[in-house]
Amino acid sequence: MKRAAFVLIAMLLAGLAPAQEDRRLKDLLQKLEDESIAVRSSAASGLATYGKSAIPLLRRAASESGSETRDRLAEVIRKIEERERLSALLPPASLITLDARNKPLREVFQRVARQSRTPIDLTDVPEDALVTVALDRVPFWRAVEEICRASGKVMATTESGHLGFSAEPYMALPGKTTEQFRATLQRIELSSNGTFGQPDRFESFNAVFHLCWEKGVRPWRVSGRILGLVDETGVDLIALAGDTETPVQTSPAPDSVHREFQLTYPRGPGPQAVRIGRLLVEFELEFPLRYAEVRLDVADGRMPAPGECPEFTARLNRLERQEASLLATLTLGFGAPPESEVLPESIILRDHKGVDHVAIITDAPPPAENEAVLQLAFPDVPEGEALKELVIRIPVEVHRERLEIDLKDIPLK
Amino acid sequence: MRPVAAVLLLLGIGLPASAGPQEALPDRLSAACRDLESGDSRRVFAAVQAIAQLGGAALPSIEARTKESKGRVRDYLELAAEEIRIAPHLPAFPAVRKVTMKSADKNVVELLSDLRAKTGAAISLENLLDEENLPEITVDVKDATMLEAFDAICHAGNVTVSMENGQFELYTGAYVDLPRFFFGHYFFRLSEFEVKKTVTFRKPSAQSFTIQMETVWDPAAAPSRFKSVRVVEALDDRGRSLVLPPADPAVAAPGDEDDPDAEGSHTFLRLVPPSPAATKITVLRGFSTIVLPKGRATTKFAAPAAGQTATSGEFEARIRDLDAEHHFLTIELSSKKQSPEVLNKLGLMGAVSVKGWDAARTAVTKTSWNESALEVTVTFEPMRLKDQPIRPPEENGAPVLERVDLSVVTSTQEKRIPFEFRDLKLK
Repeated sequence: MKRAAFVLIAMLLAGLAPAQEDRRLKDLLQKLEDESIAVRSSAASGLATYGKSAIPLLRRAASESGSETRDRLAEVIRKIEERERLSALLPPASLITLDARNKPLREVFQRVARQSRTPIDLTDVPEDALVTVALDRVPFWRAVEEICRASGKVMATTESGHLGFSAEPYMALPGKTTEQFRATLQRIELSSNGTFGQPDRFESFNAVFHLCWEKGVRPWRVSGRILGLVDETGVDLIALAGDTETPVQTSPAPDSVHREFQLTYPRGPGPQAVRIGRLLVEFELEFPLRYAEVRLDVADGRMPAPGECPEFTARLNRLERQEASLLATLTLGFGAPPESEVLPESIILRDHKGVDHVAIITDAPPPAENEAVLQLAFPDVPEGEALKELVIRIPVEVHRERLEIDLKDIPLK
Repeated sequence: MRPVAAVLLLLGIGLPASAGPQEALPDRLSAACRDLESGDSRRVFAAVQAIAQLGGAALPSIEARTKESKGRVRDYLELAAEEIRIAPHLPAFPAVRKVTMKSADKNVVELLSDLRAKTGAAISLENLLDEENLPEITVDVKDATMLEAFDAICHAGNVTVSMENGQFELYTGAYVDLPRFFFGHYFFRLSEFEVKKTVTFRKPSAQSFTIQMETVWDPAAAPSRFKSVRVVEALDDRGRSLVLPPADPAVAAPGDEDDPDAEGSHTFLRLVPPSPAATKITVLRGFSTIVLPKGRATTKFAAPAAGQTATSGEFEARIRDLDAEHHFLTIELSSKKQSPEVLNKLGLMGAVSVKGWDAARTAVTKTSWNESALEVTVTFEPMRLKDQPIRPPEENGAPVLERVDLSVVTSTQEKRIPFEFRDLKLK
């Protein structure tokens, strides 16, 4: 890259950023051309920490640079854009600060509500409960847990789109709380089944977890599975069987703040067990950063021409009304296996009023040679409604957050 | 060829104490009461039925003996008295007939055909007719109810029985020798059991024990619905009582509500978990309350077609759709006196006659209601009950419906059916 270009960019920045930031950016851009790999790498990392307002300038710098630096700047821009997209789906945790001495618990939770995005239902918080607690920039879920613990009078519960409480003595449930997520083990069920007259007995294990996030966090899909299960005598039941169960997957509603997971394993320590030696569980939350999209025009009531984007093709084979539902057959062709599977939320029928009707996938046989034929139903499209287009959106770039919960010595009293 | 299976159902018990009609009532009652104390449940329930057959004249004596008795004997004297009291309310309830069969040179289809001929029981052999080389089996039953004989034949022939829409459904293979208890037109069998421990961390862990129990019945004595099942005695071999403490009477009186655990003919018995060291349940006994239709108003469609209406008393039924090819009709049912919401709570029974077939396995499902009518779906599956044991030629096209009856159960009679199991192995 020519030095003159950096000077020009630096001059452009001069009017936009404080002098100190200007100097830092100029310095980083210059270091992108340094002979040392470590210096170039560090500079790229530094540039990637800038916000989206720096992108036009970085693009301009890239356009005036040599190919090597241009590639490095393109990677920096990609990282900034990815972070921006992600922050729209996974915003940073609300940080709670308060200092309460012998204050009504309701009032304290009201102060938490004012500092967070998650609505709080105070209905079941006892009116006479008091709490003393001090928090300094504590992430939301840790703050909630700390206040419940300090009061000793309530347990946090989550409903479809808000946080609530149950009036009961506080106890710390097994689980894990991170900056943005909280997973608690709500229940364990150990069962032993048999059939009269048959010698075999089957023991199963069921763990019910609540996985919570703040309002505004919008995972596309969440999955959970048991990775390890050790009984009280030290026997690893999963290693013994040599297999793990298929993950339980779910697609949370956009406004939800939690999901219940029933994670089962077809072997267990039996109902007589008094302790679980170890339970290792993994949750994965997927955030789609980029979608591939095809729109098929269904406005004139005829079968539309097939549509395509670089990642897939879409052909509508049937769209007809049967009683209250609109039924459709859709064939999707993929050049390569998609990053994320097609979920009902992937397919939307948009009417002329702009209302989106989400599909129900009634039948999806296993795809053959990268082609999937889906039977769809749109049960809520009013008869006679003028239709506009069928939109198929499939995530092609996904950010994944993994949460591993390793619980040891769980008492089963 | 499968090995020849043999089941000997030797019912050398007969009526209690060889009671004869010439014996005086007190003697017959005393003899039967002695049998009620027997450890042999077959003898006990023969005694219950014998006491019930003494009729209304015996009621004061039975009641007097009931007051003097305790536990199991008292329970069964009360049951016999109940049987006497409800008999006048169920004049059409079929009598329990006994059958004796002995054979070593017939296959299961031939034996079930014989049973059908002897008892008139509605047993469709359709599912068995494609089986080739059915082995000859040995069956020896004496003074057995139709269901006891039916089960003995199915056991020997490795045929599984289930109830589908109020009729028997037979499948070859996979007969499981489950614990069974027979009483008149009904029998119970226990299938699966589960011990479960639930830990919530918030309060002490809870343990539960459930046993799945299925009811099988002669279609001639079909219940219109099932009510609660009550376990009165359950003990494991360590002496622990498995009977749950009674529910809060303010919440529900036992036997007064529909069985929340019942799904068709299946229900779950909820018990205290056995001791960890227990290897079997030594006794499990109780009562299942069924509801029998006593009075009914029947709307009848001869040569049914869409749009037809039929009335019976206050009730009117209209066929909205008839799809014979897919074996179902949609009927709108209304009443001059009762709202569709109330109709939704009444029992409904259906009967479909199909041209060229002997009967049809029929189910009536309430689907929805609006301000004027209750909508029900009647599904049917044609059955042969008189065929020879060979498959008839395939019928072509949609079946032709000759008649459809939709009955509203206007009055009912409850009946308690006892069950008693012993030595149920848990390990």
